[in-house]
Amino acid sequence: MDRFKFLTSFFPSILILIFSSMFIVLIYNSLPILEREGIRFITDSTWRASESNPEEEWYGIATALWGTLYTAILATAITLPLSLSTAIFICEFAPRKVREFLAITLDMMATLPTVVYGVWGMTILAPTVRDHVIIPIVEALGWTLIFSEYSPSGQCIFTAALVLAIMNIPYATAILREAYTMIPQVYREGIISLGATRTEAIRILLGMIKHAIIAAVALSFGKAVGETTAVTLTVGNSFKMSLSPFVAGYTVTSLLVNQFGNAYTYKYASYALYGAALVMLLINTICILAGLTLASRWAKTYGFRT
Amino acid sequence: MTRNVIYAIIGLCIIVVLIAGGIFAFHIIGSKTGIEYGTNILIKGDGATFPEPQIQAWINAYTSMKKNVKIEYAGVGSGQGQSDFINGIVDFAGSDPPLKSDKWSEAVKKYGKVYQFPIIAGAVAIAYNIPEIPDTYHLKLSSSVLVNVLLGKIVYWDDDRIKELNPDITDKLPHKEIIFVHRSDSSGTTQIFTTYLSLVSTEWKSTVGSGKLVEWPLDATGRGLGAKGNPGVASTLKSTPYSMGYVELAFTKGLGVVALENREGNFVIPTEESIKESLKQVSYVLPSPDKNWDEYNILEKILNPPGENSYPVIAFSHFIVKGANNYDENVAKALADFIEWVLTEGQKGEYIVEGYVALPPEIAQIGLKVAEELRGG
Repeated sequence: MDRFKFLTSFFPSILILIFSSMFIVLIYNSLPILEREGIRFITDSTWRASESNPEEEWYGIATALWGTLYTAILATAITLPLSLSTAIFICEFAPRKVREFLAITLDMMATLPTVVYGVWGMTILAPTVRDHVIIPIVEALGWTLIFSEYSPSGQCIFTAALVLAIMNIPYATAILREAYTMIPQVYREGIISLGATRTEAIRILLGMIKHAIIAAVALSFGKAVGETTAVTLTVGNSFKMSLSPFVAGYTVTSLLVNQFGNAYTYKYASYALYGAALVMLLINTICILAGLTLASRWAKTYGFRT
Repeated sequence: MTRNVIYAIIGLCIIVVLIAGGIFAFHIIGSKTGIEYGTNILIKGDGATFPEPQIQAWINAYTSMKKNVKIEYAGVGSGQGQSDFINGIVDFAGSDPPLKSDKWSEAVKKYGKVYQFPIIAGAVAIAYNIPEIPDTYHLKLSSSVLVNVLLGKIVYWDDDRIKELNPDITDKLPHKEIIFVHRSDSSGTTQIFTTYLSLVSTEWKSTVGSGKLVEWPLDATGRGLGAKGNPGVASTLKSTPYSMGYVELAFTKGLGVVALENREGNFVIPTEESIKESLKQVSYVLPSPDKNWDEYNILEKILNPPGENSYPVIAFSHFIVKGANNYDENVAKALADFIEWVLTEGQKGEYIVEGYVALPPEIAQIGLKVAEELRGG
């Protein structure tokens, strides 16, 4: 039995080792930029590279951080209601054939390469969203200043968030469905026997899977923060910080993928990119830990094992 | 988990392993057939993405004749390629700009001798998407109008200064804002284009300057957009009416191409002929391959060249290799053969990928000297 224990603990320990070594490498490589710029690395929005004079180089990731958080929050906000209703529909209302078809579709969506979403988002979704969503909203609400501008190509924070949301729906739906079907039958019977309508029953049951909702939110958010290819193709890649979701922005991941190729031609750029990766990892870790803690606390209330 | 599920998973794993193994086995068998002599030689390179399709085409053609040589090239970016070359990870680097002086001395200190030479030429085209303009017409832009557009001084397509240059289509130029699409990634294409702008405009030089990444003035107005890579710029242009941007020649399909004013005041579109004309004009300014090219300000010398029909924004892509004693003897010989083939046979039309332009013999000569050096000749 001990040998079995050893075998099963072997790979998890390697995983932890790999993850911590990544963390150390990131910290080590971002030290030069953190020493040079300090907190302004995070709060400044200037991104200036100079080959001829390293003294002129300045890297602030505020714009990219803003874009990452904005797209991720917006994406999660879109994902949650859509995946919640999909999950309820599948569990409660869908006939068996439809349910199977939906399940297969969702599985296919989950396995599509992200670049497919990216290319589709860039070539089809962005112009469509621009013509049928963004321009009407800007025309109607342009006077509010927030919506006064928009990205002429349709590639913007909103489009990126939409693509992210579509990519995350299969995962979030899977978590919610799993939790919903795990609710012990006695609760369901109890609620119905008390004379609750179907809608009331669903509302009560949803309250019981709060932990799964939080887990789905944490996972969607984490995936949205980390997604690279699809976001880079749809976010517009402009160093512009704006409240409007219709303006082209930048994310930390697109910063990394856009600039790593030539980062070594500058003195500090590669350190700045490592620093950006480190900050992103920290944000993600905090969010996922917070989500998991909340989820497990709620799960305990209803006697679920997590 | 039930027993059946475990069996199913194991079964799936076996199928996947078998497929992967089969592919691998065929690959090995495929590459082993037709060995001519000796052991197999592997030459590794990486770097610029711009010449990658051309380099792959050469590699495919060359290694199908020389079965014992295997050449790998990965498009990871010029900067990464230079860094990998200096760190000894690759045998040769592909790079759009030559090594900067500090990298050059670092490499020379490490390897004793370092050679750089052009392998292929190309051009940066200015592409646009104005649905009203017929496909047969090429919008004419002078260098000063171009700079004024990019500085934000000309906002609309129907600006008088643009109309003046295009009297035949004044009624077709729309009153729409000019959207400018540029590269979001750090790019040699951007460096070439901004160096050209700095050459033709002192105002551009002092306010924006040149480099692989610059702060585009139009971004602040919301009319400037970044897109990743040449494909990203091209597809953003296609989906954004009234936009214009700069791309490598190969990516202009389906877009209008600007006829740009050259040094002699003629409006020229980038074609094989107009680029060759430019190349002829600049062949004499290129230094010998063992020199520090950065000191010669190559880009500034090759851009906006003289010549009636020269296209002004041309570019070279380079190989960077080290002195023969840094390689295994066989590798040095194989690399020399490959370079020689690339610069002679490889420059013939049948091997040149669309969008690239072959080097004239005077320029190919530079790299041929390196091939001789590598052979220890």
